[in-house]
Amino acid sequence: MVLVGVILTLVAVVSLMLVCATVLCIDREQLQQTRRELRPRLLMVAPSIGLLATVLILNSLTRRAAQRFSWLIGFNITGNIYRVEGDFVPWLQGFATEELTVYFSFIYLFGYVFLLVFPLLAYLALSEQRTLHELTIAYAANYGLGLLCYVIFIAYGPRNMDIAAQLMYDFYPQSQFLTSAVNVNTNVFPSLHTSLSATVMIFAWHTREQYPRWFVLAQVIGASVIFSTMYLGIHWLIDVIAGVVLAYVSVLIGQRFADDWRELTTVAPANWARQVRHRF
Amino acid sequence: MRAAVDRNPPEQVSLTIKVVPRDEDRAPIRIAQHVADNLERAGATVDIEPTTGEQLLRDVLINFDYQLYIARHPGHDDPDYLYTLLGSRFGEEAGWQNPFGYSSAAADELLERQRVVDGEERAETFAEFHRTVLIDAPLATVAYPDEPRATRTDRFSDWASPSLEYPLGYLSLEYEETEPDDDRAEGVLYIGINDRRPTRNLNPFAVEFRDRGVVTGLIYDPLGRRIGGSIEPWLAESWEWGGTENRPRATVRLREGLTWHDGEPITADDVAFTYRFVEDTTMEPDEPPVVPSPRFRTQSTLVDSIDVVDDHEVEVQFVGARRSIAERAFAIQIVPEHVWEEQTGMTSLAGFDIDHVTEALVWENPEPVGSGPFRYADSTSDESLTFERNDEHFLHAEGSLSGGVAEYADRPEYEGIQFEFVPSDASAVEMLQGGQLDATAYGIAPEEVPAASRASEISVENEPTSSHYHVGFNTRNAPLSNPQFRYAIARLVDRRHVHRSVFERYATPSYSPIASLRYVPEEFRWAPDDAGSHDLSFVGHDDEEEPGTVDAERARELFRDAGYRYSEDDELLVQQ
Repeated sequence: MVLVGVILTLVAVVSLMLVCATVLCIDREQLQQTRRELRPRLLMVAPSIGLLATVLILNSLTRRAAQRFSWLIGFNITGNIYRVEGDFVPWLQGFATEELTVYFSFIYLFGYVFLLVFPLLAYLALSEQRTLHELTIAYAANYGLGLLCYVIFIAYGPRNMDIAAQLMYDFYPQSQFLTSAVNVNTNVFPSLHTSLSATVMIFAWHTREQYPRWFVLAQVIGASVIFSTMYLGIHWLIDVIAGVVLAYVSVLIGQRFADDWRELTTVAPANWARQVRHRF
Repeated sequence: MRAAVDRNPPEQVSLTIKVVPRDEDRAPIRIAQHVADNLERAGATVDIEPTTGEQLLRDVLINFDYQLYIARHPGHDDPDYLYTLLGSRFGEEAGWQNPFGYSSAAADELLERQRVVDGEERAETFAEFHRTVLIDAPLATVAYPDEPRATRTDRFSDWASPSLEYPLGYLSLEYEETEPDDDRAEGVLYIGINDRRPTRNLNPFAVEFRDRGVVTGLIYDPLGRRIGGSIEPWLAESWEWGGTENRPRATVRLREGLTWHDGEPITADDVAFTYRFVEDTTMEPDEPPVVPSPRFRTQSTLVDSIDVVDDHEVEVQFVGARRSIAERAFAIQIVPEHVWEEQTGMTSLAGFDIDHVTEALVWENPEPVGSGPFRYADSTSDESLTFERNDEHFLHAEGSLSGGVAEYADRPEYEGIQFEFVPSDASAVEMLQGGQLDATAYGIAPEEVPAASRASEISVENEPTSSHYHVGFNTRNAPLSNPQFRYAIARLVDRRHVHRSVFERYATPSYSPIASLRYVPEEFRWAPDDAGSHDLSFVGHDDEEEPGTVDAERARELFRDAGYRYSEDDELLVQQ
């Protein structure tokens, strides 16, 4: 299967990037500390990881059904978007070169996955674990709110309107197996590539003192991912702007609710259990 | 108070064109851009609205919720398909039954007449039809695309005649096992499809899920199939004609020992059921509502009544039509009564009955029971669909077959078909090259042809089709209710430009909804150099500098002739 091949390549490349970034950004002592405290740390983060996993699984199970539902109740806004922003994306593609296409395709597929996975590891390695919890909740918020938007708004990207070239699919056609397996082509408003990257960039700013190198790396890769969504003709500028807004909201949600969520899922059930035991 | 207060100012004409997105088919959206550009030069504002193929067909064919659309008609074997496509009395029906809401007494009369004449007289009737309908422009035919099919020849051969455009194309393939292969199981034909719909729905009557119905045509057999140029008995062993020349009657004898995929015998009752069912899926013809099947509709209008004579024989009384046209009704796919009689009720959504829609039209038919040469084996929604050979089929029966069907004796030679969804034509070419597919079920996009032709493993056969891309107009609402307005838009389409830039010459441009030139009068045939030379030609610049660009002044003239006004800024106006 072509898809399996693409996924194996993805896993291999991203793993290599993770190893390099770990060596570059996280110091040895921190890693040893993490190894010693791995169990309690993982237990602490389990509720938020669980929430993120639930959102992702729900997303993958309902994606196509949600799309069909969306055709029933949603607003088709492709024409409106195009009328507002016009030929910005094709204009951008006017600067395309072969090297840039290779770079941005790589960033869109591999750089993006790396950008999302690495901070999970890096924040697990911090003695202060709150950031990790905030980040996972923020991820879940991105996906959850993003999905809601996808049900309400139906929009095709510039490449599907055929006003922009689909540079990545022309250069690396197998990648469409992956993108069509994990997403639906009407899900472009807002850009989740943008919102998740911007989320990581905001967190990298918060942790710039702990991870100064990661801060620089995250800004460079994050900005490239955001730019690549337009350069490759996949998203409109408006999707990207909406993605940044979504990122901002998601970070706020992460910061506000990380503690509440952990309490709700760990302390509260324990209390209930105690109360139940008291009764009998 | 002055009377001027209560007068609405005219507004600029604003139109929306519905098409499928590039992922599904690149041609419609590119034609739409061409039409939109020229309409804007002529002073209108235009939006292009991409929507999925399934949704587009629902909007256009069922809900009539559109202004203009650009899509591909599934194709036709005889110009009689226009009887329902453009007949006035089909304007309220779902399916490829006059989705335009077009009505013309003159056209209706010609459509009736072409059924009861033949030869020169029929050709002359269609010539007259062109003069009436093409100027009224309920639709503007653009081109008949070629289908460049990419195939591997290492395991299967004889791809071309007939091609995969027809179910018979799947039967005629020659199979030869080569060395074992990691990707393709022995005896299985791997076909790439660019359409997810068959993996979710196999209902032969669900119009929004079927294009040509080739996939369901492998599962369901008709009484007769078109083999070579004529309709030959298939499930029928033979038919005998009676009645009069213009009102024929046929006695149809079924083959002995036919069975459905679930083992039940096929009887004359199933045949009679199917013919009544396609005419009214409620099976209560005397009580409203009457809900005909949106597919097989042209064929079902040919049948007046059907009676069961005995287990293996039915009598079909046709309406007014020549035999050569009446026999098209034998192409209706026969379905088992014991399955479909359960689907005759009105459908409901969340407890509310939906009028005028039977279960039969919305049922997914996930595990179809047919009688065709293939039977359903398995499917994964949105990904793949597996059929296996039906060894009980009459093609494999002892004893010799006679007539056109004989060349399919003991076919197919192989054991099954695996249809795999591929997300793009470029990936299909890659998969063919990598040996994961044997062929594509559809024609690949012109821009992928060079890559496919370069690959030594792949052979590309180019094939003309009978299925046209057209601009469809919803004539139910102003300003598109005005034939002159539509006619003006039809003349903004530069078929030569579309031929070159959209189809890269893999198409036959045309003004006519009839593929066979026999029925297209000389003056309505397309020629590369007919710019400005007749009533339908493009009103554009005849130079190479701005190909496809309309001459704005001439375009405005067309709309002015139709009675429309322009603002000072050359905006095309309409009173709202």
